[in-house]
Amino acid sequence: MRARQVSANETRFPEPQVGEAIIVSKYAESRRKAVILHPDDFDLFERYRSIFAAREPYELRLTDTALAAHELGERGADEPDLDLESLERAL
Amino acid sequence: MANQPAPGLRGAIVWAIVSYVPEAPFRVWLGDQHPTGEIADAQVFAQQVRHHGLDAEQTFLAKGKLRPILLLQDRPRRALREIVALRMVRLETLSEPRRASIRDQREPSLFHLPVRPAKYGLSKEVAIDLNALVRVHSSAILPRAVGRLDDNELRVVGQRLVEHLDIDLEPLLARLVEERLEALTGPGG
Repeated sequence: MRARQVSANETRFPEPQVGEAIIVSKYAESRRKAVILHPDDFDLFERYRSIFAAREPYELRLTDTALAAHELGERGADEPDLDLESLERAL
Repeated sequence: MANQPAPGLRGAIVWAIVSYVPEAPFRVWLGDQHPTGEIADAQVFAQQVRHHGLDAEQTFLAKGKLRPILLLQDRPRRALREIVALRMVRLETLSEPRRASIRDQREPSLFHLPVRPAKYGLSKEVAIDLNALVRVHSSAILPRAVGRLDDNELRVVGQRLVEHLDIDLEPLLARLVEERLEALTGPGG
């Protein structure tokens, strides 16, 4: 969900209490036009959304360093020489 | 115990033959008397299988390398011969700022292992690459583990791996919490 900021000087609206949702309706309550929440309730909604919303693929969070290291390993270019000391232990 | 990895593999650092992931263009071995074939991509291969009678099974030529890996699974029954592991990456070819970032634990994808031969069995600084999940056959693993991660380190690697693999654990966790609550609040709880 995108959040859009509007200056309080530019609009008039009723002020909701914590735990209250004010429904702005049209056509004698048959159609909801907007719902106004207290900021605390909106923050709670955002927390719930972060917990239960569809996860984004982890690849979107990969850093440049993670990608650079992975690319080196994927090509075997991270090892300029063999760790013979370690290899000896494995035999 | 060649070709017979012992139980207690989970968390072991071992040397193994690890194949690189084949990528296009794919090289195909066509027999002793023929030059190596090349297939442009998977779609071309599928079309040749579908329309030109090429066998879907071919001997693909892929590079492999002997390198240390971290084993993630035990195989006490030895019923399954393939083992899931994570490849490690040496840090010396990365720039100093990148190495510092890994050492300072600022890279969740790269679990840092300092040079501690007595614990990790490696004489080079490496990181476990959480994006480099591999599957190796037990016959491709050298018999003696050179090092081992402790339980806490393995727990961290496991938690990060779940995230890296995009595995959604929420339904499982929710069920476990519900079961625990039922056990606590139910009769005899």
